[in-house]
Amino acid sequence: MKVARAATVAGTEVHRRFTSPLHDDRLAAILGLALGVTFTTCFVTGLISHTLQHPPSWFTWPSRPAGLFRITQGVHVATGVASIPLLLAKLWVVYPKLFRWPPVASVAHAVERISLIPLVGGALFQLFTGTANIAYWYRPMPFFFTVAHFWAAWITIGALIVHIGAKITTTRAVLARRAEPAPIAADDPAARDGLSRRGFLATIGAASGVLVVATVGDTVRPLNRISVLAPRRLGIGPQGRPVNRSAAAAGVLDSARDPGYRLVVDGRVTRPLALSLDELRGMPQHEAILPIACVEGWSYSARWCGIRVRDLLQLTGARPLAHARVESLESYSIYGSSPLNRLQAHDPDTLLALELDGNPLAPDHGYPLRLIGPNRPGVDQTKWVHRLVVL
Amino acid sequence: MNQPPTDRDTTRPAYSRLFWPCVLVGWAFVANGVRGLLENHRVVRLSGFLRVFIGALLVHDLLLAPFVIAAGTVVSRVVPRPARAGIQAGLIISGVVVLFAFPFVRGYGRIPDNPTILPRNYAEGLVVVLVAVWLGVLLVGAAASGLSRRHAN
Ligand code: HEM
Repeated sequence: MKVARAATVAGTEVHRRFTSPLHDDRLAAILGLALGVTFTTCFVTGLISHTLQHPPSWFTWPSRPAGLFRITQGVHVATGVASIPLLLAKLWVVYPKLFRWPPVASVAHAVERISLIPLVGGALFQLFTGTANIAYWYRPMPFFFTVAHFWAAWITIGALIVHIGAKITTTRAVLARRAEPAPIAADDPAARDGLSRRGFLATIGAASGVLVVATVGDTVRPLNRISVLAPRRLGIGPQGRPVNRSAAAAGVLDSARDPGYRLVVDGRVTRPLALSLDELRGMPQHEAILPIACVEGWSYSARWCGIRVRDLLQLTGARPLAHARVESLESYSIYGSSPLNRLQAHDPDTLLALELDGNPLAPDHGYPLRLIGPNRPGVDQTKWVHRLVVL
Repeated sequence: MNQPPTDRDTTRPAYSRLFWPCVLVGWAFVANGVRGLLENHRVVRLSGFLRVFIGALLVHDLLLAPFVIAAGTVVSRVVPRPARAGIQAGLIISGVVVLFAFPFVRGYGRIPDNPTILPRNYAEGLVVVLVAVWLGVLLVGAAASGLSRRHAN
């Protein structure tokens, strides 16, 4: 009994110490709405990226519009980055509630508060791992990023649904009320005359804006120079283009230059083929301007030239609705092969490219032959291709 | 927190009829996430996952938030009134930018065989952003005080 009373007094004491008038329901509601929008956007665009890389059998992602994935993944990373100030602001605004006493008032309230662990933990986890990933900072992630980030997204969004259910009534009420000036904490004149509620929101909005402008230029070309914190720089790299995996790291420097190199086309075909580099160069070439869009949110558009996958399918007598898989000389990596669904395989711009911007591919860009197709994640634009398996 | 804190916070939150359905659906999502983690425990490495998940919570609640609140208290006592809002805004934005830029400035992700990864001078970039932020704060502050002076006249 005594302990409980002491705890109550202590809790109240802590509670009273938060004198800023900005620890306030209205701000919590507005920031919560903003985070609801940004996290839902991240979840949907993230699910798209995941589904493209692990397509279930019932799912045929279209090959058009060519730049769609560039947009969805660019939006994913930019929205995630914009969420960082929003989340920190939200947590600061509601921080005093952590010390609420008594901690729970009803069964529903207990469920609501327990669900805050996956909500806050998940939100911090997603933003931290996402940022660490685009900074190529793997040390603080003692796990495989993609898989952890994917399943933690379910945990975060699930907890967010519970939270929305818990806060729907308060949010409606608070936002329907006309905004009165935030009450001034009674006993602390020092808390006065700082940022107003509106000033605080404008500041957080500005912080999101600054982070986005400082990074988004890796996919929004005109901002590339201004984005001084972007993880890449368009124009820097072999043939002036950034790459994720070098030929050296992939261990293909020798096999890619081997004069005995052949592209093998086999699988469900009537006339399998094995083509040398000269034979490939002698075939009808097709040119396409296509974006390459990395899952990490950077992208560039380039002029690619090579052989249509569609032509190879026809030449080898594949079925009209055939789909396919390409395989890389980098065979032991999880990115060493990628699927082409039937729309992608038959798209006139899906190429096994020999040239980038009018020059033979640099080794880091996939010499001698790489896949490039419209509306695909960069990890699936397989480099150092040596086999096309028709399915 | 709209009312001044009373001795005991005994308010019972009001719940909409949607609360329990949301709990059901939400925890089904959470359960799906947990199932996925368990099924993939080899690549996720649960101990590593939990360390970062719980670590992020603790670092925020026990270090970052108290630090920010302490810093806020200092600012509200030390900075004179006319400049207070501007300094607060500048510090908030700067703090977030520094936090985000940290792994870039340190260049943790650089690898020798791929110079296209983290090719910029991020320390310089960070300084540029901070200068721009404080210039912006000055401009907005000047515009705001100009406005209020005109009002007063
Ligand atoms: C700073 C914030 C964030 C950044 C920088 C970020 C970055 C990324 C990156 C780079 C990927 C691609 C992974 C890959 O395929 O290799 C990704 C995938 C994904 N993200 Fe995020 N993300 C952020 C926030 C979020 C949030 C808030 C959610 C949802 C609540 C989310 C959900 C997902 C999902 C579901 C995927 C798909 C994972 C997969 O392919 O299996 N992300 N994110």
